Amino acid sequence: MRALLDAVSLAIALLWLVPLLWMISTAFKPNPEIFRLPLHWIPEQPTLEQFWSSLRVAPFGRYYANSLFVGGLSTLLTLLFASMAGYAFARLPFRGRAALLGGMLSSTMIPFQVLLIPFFILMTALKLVNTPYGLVLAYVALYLPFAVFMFRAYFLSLPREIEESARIDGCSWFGVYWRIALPLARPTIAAVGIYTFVEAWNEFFVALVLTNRTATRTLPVGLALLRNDVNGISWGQVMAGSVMACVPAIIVFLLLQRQMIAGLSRGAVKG
Amino acid sequence: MSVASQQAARLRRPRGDSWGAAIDRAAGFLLSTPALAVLVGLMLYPLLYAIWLSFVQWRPAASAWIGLANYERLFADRIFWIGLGNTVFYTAWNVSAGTTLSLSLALLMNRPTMAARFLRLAIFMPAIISAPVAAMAWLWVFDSDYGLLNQTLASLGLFETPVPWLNSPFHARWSIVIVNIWLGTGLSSILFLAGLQDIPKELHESAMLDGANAWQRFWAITFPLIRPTLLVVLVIKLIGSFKTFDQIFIMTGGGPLYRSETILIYLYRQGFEYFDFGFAAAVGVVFFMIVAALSLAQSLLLGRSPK
Amino acid sequence: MNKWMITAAALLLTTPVMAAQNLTVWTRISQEGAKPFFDEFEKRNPDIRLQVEYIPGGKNHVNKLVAAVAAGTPPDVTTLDVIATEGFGRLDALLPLDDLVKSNPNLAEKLFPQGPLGTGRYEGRLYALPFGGDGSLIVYNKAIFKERGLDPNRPPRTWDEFTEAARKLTFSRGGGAKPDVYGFYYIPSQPSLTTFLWLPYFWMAGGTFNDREKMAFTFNSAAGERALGYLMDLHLKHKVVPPSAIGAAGTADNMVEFLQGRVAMAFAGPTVIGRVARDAPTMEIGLMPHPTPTADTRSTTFSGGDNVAIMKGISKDKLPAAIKLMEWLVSVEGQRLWQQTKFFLPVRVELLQDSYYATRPLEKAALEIFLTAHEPPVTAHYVEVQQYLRDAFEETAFGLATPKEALAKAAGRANELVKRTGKP
Repeated sequence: MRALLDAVSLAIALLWLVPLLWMISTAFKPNPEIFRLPLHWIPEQPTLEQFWSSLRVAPFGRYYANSLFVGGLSTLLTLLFASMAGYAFARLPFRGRAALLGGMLSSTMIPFQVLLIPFFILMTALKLVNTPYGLVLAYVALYLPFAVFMFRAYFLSLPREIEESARIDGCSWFGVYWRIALPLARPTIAAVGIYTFVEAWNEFFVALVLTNRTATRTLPVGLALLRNDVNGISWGQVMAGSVMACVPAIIVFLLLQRQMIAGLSRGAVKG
Repeated sequence: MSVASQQAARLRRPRGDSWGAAIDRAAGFLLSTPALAVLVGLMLYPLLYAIWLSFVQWRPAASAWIGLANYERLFADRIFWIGLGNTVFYTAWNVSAGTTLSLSLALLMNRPTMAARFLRLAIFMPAIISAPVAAMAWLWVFDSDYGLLNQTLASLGLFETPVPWLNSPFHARWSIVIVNIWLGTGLSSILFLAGLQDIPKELHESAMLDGANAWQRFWAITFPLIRPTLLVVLVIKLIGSFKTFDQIFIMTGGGPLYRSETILIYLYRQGFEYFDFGFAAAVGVVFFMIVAALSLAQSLLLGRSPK
Repeated sequence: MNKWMITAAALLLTTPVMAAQNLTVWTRISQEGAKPFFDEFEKRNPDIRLQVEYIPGGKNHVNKLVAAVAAGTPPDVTTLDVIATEGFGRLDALLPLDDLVKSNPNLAEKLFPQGPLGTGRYEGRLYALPFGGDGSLIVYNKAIFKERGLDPNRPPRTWDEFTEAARKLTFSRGGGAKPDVYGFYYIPSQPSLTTFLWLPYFWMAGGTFNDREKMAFTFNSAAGERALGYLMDLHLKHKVVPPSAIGAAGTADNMVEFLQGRVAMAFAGPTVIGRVARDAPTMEIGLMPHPTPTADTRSTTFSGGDNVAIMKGISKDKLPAAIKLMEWLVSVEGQRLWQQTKFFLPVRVELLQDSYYATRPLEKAALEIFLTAHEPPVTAHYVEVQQYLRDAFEETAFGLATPKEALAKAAGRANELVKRTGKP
């Protein structure tokens, strides 16, 4: 039984990875080999030609740096704002709290595309178009509501006793939030942080509209621009670009997968 | 007022009239101010702006108020209804087949073997790469003449003529369902796995002693205990599927003949290809209302707080 | 002391004049294709610095320009797809050039071929000048012609000859029941190619795309049906086009079947020369103009490519620099750079006499074909109508409608648009 399930697991896993493995295989083939039938998996004349050709068309180093900066800063701000608000919603009654919470939860249902044109005009007025900060603001708006909701759920599930005794010892609410609640929320910080970062790193549509300079473009947009309408798709070039676009994320994932999966799982269970 | 907030109110003890105490009393409000600012400035204001746009014929300099004309035109457009229908179609498949598959895979992953760990890794991989990367990889797999899929089917002797996976009005949306599920299963199966791992082993062991088989144990123990996770997964999938855009936009752009169109691709075309921002805003407002109604219905069904 | 102060003041006053002026330029052409133009300009005008944004890939450039116009942050100068020029004219986003071309001999209208120049006009005003040309043509594989007993130096000239040749060129090399080599390749619904390919056939059949006086689209005429019917019959009736081409818009490498030697003739643009040289260096190719409905019809093609325009929002002090840039981009010397980057064809007739082309028959053929180009239709709704036509082509290709029905539907949608917007 165990051997059978293992075999099934392995088969599904390999099947699942086929599109990605095929992408990698293609990226290392010279052009004539890509279209030679019957198809073959191992490049007979492995080459980096497709990568150079991709890099000639698009500055991937710049794209990496942009994605990293935008993803990192939006994650940081989202975590800070969401944990603060989540704590207030969970523990501190104040006037308008219910309305704000309701607004926050219902805003998760606003598809951002609906807001894109007005958002663009707003960003322009703030002179934030074509800077990474405009994109960061968009992402904070995009991911904050979900994050608030995760933090609130987590804080609600915490036992109150520690915080209560801190209050009785004269600690301010800010102190309780910063010194007690936040450290306790580490699993949620990890889960929400990873979620936000991965989402921001991968986000395509908003980035496409809000950045129109090579200097501010993120990876997914840079990749999509490898395509050419009149000649169609140059498969080798596009596959090499795709490999370059996802390799860093995959490496990070393989290194951190235990923590990432654990974080996500715990976050969801508490959520 | 809930029990929680009553308790919190009881704990609010003012100590003197100092500034610190005043600030402490306002802590709840102050802590949520940044979130409030984001909500109002970056979501509410653009939303109101979008609603205004939907009533005008947009021009860069001076837009003209045209009342409900955008909406009338929208509801009379057959392509809008196709897009809406497809959005529901994709969502239905993601929620039903996607969830079932995620749970089945999670059951396979929930075993302490190397193969199970490898499976977990493989299934989660698509969630790590971006949708544009996935779309490009699948486009290449689906290629009619040189694609891996058609070539493999041909070498197995299964099909004489190449299957136009993305190039026929009859196949395109099914191919997209495959990609949607491939992309979306990673996160949900990991969530299920977490839920499964929280089930105490003793429950299964005692049930086994009672002679229950695997099927009975699943329905008697696993399923009831995994229900909270199931709700989370359903909510995530429902919301996520309605907003799906990237992979469809890149793979088919809604074609051929709008048969893989979604409402967001329709919105994009009206806004960024036809330059009709007012009309596109009307599409957005309608989409927003559908999604809002859906979420309302869902929170009524699942209880007020969908946790 | 006084003297010193005067010198300082003079220095301060002159500084703004001496400082390099910045111009923002956007283009949809890739860096490889356009950078030499801008580099050379900066070299010749050290007082002007260009900040060039390359925005290649489909509609990216148009989309971003629309958004930037909406937000009031356009560049100073842009090159743009000829078919998008009218859309921006409609948005009132471009600076009218009529007075400028009358007074500036370096930008005079008579310098340019009529087809390309017409793409810069909208509602009687000139908004852009031709920068780079791109005309559709047909590329063919000489070896397959020889293999099937056709003269590789006398490609088919009329529609009937073309069909006949395509049928001969569709055959099974391996001896199977199904052909493994096809006569012709084109994707019926490639968005930019619907008009790029179909319009020459439509014009040659005697069609008029629209009637601006009567505010009506008239492409669903007998000529329209004939042109569309002819192209679709190559797919549906004569089966000389690989079936997988139907609906493959945007999901395939459009040239790969030709480069693999699996089709004998293919619809293409001038860039095919470079593509063949790179990916199939041993293949011997020829270029032919589109075949004509009768032997005495003149062949024509579609005038594609890029125009160059100055954005309306440009500040007064930057205008002279922008005009200087425009003069350079359209000058004979500037246009010669296309021979180097090969992204587009030059738009100056004088260059045909260049010794460069004496040794490059293919490039010469492409330029000659381009110079026969018909001026594209003038309409405020090019993008929409192109989409409607694309739908019509797909419906026909998938056998869901006859050319007549499909074109009537497309014209109906287009005329509805005219009625709603009040613009032809």
